[in-house]
Amino acid sequence: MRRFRRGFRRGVGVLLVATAAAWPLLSWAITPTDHSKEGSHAAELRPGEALVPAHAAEGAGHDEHGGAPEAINWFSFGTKTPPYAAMVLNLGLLIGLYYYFGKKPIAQGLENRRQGVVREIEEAQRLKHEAEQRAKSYQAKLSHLQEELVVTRHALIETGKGEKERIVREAEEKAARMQREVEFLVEQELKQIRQDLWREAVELAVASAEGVLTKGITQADHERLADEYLKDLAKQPSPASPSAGGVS
Amino acid sequence: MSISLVARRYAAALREIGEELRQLDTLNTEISNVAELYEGSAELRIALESPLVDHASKRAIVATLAKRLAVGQIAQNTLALLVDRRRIKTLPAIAKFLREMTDKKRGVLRAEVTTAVPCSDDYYERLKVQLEKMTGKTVVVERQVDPQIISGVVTRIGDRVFDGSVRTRLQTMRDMLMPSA
Repeated sequence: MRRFRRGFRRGVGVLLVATAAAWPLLSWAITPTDHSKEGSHAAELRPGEALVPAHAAEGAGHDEHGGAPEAINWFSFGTKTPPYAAMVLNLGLLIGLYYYFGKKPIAQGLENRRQGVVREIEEAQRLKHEAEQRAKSYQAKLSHLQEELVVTRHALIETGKGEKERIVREAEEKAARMQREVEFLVEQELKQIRQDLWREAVELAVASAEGVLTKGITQADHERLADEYLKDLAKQPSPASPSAGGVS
Repeated sequence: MSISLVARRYAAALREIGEELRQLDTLNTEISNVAELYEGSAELRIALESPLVDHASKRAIVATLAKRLAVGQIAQNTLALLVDRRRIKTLPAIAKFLREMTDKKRGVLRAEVTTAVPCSDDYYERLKVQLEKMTGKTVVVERQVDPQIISGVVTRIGDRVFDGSVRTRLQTMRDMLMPSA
């Protein structure tokens, strides 16, 4: 039923448009011939009549009866005016083609447009809702601003104290660690220096002893050492023993 | 093939020939003398080892050397063979192995005795007796002088060393005094 009403309304609309469009055609199809009241060659436009070139109308009026419009040319071709039925049929076909091919895209476009408008409305409502919520939140915050300031200040002070303690503790640990490392390094350096000094002293002592012995040793010393060598050899193990080495 | 292995084979062959002809001591002495000369003369080594010197010249050098040292025919033939086979470089090793083989066959040990200054013959004799007593074998003492040992005596018998030098004592003292690393 609803579809029928909608179709009916659409049909009436199309008919009205076709009628309005066909009205000028009707005027076109009727050629006026009365020129007695016309005092000039200029064309005159009357309500319900089509604009016709004045000289054409004038020329045509010489051959016809004075005053009365010619009958509507409904169907005959080849006359001055085209057949009115053909023009109405032509117009109807044009409107029908427009309707047939333009119905779906136009409907789809209108539907898309409607959905877009709906989305925009929804988005605007959402933004409005959020703004209202924010406004409420800010209002609430503003009402508790002083309390929050006190709480925040207290929290910041506590955090600062903790941070201070942490920094001090880390610095103390780092200092202690550095002190231990430095002490260890100093100890190692001292040990190395002590060893180097000792080694150098031993080398010098041995070199000095070697020099003294080389210069001061006598033939008697050589003979004594050679005799001692013989005595030491006598203390060496028997040949069955596999040991080898010095006697010194 | 290593020089040691080649020299040992030549030395073994020479020992057999020397024993057959009952000239082992003479042959040993002659080979040792030539080897000593060869080791002591750089020019001789270069001349005999250089590929630039032709073979006939090397044979002539060896023949002249043998003639001057008055070595026997066996030693001369040995030297010529070494030149022909290009093995003259092994001559010192051959002499060493021949001496060792001869000593071993006769139960003789060679003791290399090093002192800072020359000692008396009496001392070397007493040392020889002591070494023979220690080893139970006949010992031949080879005397060497090396002032680097400062004083004392160093005896080497084979791979055994009896070190009584002052230098070694100083070294031992130094090692004892040195701090551990």
